[in-house]
Amino acid sequence: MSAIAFPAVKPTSRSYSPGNFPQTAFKAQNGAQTIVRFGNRRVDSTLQLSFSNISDSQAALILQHYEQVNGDWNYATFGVDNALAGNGFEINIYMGETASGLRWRYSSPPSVESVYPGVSSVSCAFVGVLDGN
Amino acid sequence: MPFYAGQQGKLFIDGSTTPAAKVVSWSFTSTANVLDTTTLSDTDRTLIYGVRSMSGSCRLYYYNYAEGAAVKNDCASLLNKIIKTGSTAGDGENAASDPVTLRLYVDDGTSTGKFLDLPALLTNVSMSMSVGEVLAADVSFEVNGAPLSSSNLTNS
Repeated sequence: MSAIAFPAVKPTSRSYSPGNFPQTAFKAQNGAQTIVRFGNRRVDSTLQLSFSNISDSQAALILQHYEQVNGDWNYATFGVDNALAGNGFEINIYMGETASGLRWRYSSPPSVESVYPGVSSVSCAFVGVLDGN
Repeated sequence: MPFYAGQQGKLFIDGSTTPAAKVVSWSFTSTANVLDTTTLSDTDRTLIYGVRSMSGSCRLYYYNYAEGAAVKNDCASLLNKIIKTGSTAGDGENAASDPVTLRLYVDDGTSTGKFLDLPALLTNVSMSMSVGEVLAADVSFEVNGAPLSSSNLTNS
């Protein structure tokens, strides 16, 4: 298992959710609620990236990255030259999941839409996974 | 002749060597769509070219003239490209409309002139008859693909 850096393609839009803490709520008939927590670290953060009107060669780099990450159960890493472009350092700690221990993996295959000869738009979705040792 | 005006304008239909009669005007518009390539760290919008398109219009008087023994009407020829008749009322299966090749011509004093050859589909024809006005047709068209390579209007 190794880190595979995302190719140097900057997204057009980006959406991030920090995920939630694993817990289950039980509610009694009288309305009392009990919550059982299973951990103190958040999981299932999500990152959605869209790349509009990029070249076909850049789209191919993303598909190649998808194969590299999933072919050998690796994980994706991001930086300011790709998915985290335009972000400040503080928020990149979260969006890059550099301190949380979460690892980015594709939650679904990238979607490629052909726009024009040589031009495509790509959408990617990632989920932050807390790998057990 | 540095400037050109309506006197130098002509319209040729479907490769005819004689210009269409009684053309009042022609016009065209060339448009290039752009694709936005702006990314998250950019401060200014960036673009690449997308699909080009051309459209235009012309106006012809509805005018009969003799060519040898035949009577011709270039306005009617264009009408016939888009208007097709049916045999009975309610007949929904009739001939398809025809494409047309239009040459938008500028007589620049040379033997060839300047022109755009446009393979076009007529999209709209409008005629109205009214007192005090000469019957004419306003014809709109969309260019099917790019102008033909025979065109030389863009040559300096």
